[in-house]
Amino acid sequence: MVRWRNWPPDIYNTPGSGIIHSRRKEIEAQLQVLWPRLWRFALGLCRNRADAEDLAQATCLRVLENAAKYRDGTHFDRWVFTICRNLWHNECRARRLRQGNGCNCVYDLDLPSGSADAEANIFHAEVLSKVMTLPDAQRETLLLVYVEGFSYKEAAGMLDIPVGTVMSRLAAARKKLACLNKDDPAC
Amino acid sequence: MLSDEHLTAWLDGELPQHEADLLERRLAGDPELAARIEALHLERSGLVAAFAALEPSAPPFPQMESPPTWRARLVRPIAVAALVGLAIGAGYWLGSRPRIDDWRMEVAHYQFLYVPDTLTDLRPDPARIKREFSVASERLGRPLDPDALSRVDGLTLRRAQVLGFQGEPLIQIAYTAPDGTPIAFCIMRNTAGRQSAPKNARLLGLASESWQDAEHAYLVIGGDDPGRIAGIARQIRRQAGS
Repeated sequence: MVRWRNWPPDIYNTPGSGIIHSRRKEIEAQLQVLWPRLWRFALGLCRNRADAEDLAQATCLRVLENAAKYRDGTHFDRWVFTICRNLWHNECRARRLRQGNGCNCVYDLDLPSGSADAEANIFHAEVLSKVMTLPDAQRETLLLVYVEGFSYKEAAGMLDIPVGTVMSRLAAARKKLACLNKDDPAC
Repeated sequence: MLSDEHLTAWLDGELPQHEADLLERRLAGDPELAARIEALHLERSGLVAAFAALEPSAPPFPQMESPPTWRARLVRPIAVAALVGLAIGAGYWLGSRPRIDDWRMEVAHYQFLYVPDTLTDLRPDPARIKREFSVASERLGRPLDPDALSRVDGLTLRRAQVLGFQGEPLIQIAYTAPDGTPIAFCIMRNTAGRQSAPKNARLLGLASESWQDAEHAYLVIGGDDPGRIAGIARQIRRQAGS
C-alpha cells in the first residue's frame, strides 16, 4: 500500500509553519472531537480501513498546516470534510497516473464484532456493503447529506457542484439502494 | 411531470413549503406518483446507525508532536515535573468532587438527540413555564426569571426542566430558533468554585459557549453556528444577570 506521508508530521521544522501554538492546540482539540466522524467519512470514501486511516491522518495534518487560515465562526466540520474529500480526489488522480486504475479499491470492511447485538451488526454490515457499491460521486454526496446531515446547499458548497447535481446524485443513489433492498437481480 | 430529483428533495425536506404542499396534494390521488416515491425509499436512520456503529472501531486520534524548539526543550522537564505534581494533587481533588467540565459533554450527548420536532409541538404556555421556573429556581438555589429569559432575540422559550448530574440538579431551559434548531441553556451549581470567562467549544459537532461565576456554571448549546450561540449567550448573560 502506498503511504502518503510519514506520520507524525514534523511540521514545526518545515519553513513557513509559524502557527501560534495556542491556536494550533485549539484546532487540534477540535480535530480530536471530530476524529471519529472524520475517520468514518474517510472510510466511506476509501472503502477500506488502511486508506481511510491514512486519509484521515493526512487530513488532520493539512488542517493543522492551514490552522492560521481558519476563521472562528466558520463551520469547522465543513472545512475539515472538504479538505478530506479534496485530498482523496488528489490521491485518486495520482494513483490513476501511477497505476492506471485510480481508486477502484476492493471493498474491504471488517466490522467490529465486539457489539453484543449480533442482529444489529448484520443489519449494519448489509447497509454499509450496499452503500459501498454506489459510484464515487453518489457515495460522497450521500455521505455528506444522509450520514453527516449537511443540507443540499452545504454539500453543494463542499463538493463544489450545483445544488441540482446534489439532487440528481441523491435521487440516483436512492433508486439504486431501494432496488438493492428489494434483492432485485437487475440492480 | 415531476422529476426524481424533485421527489428526492421532497423526501429530504428540502423543497420549499409551497412546492411541498402542491406535491402532497397531488400525491393523495396519484398512485403512480406514490409508486415512484416508493422506488426512492431510503431508511435514513438505518444509514446513520450503520455509520455510527463504525465509530467505536475508529483508530485512536493520532499523536501530534509538540514543537521541538529550544524553549520547549528547556521548559519540558520542568513542565513534566509540575504536571506530575499537579496530577497527584488533582487525583485527590477530583476524587472528592464532581468534575464540572464533564457535565458539558453529558449535556452535549443529550442535546445531540434533539431535532426540531422534539420541541416545536410544545406550546409555550406561560403558566406552565412559570411553574417550571419556580421549581428550577428552588432546586438551583438561584432565582431564574422566566420573563427575562424569554426575551432572547428570535428564540422561543419552550420548557425548563430539572435534570441531574452526579447528584446535583442540572437545569435545562429549552429554546427553539426560528429555523427550528433546538438550543439549550443549562445551569448547574459550580461545585468546583473556579470561575471562568465565556469560552466556546464544539461538542459533538454542536456549537457551545460556557462560563462560570462563583456560584454557578452555565452552558448554551445547539446548532452548528458558533456565531449564533455567542450572540445568544451574550443576551442570556445580560438577561439572567450572570
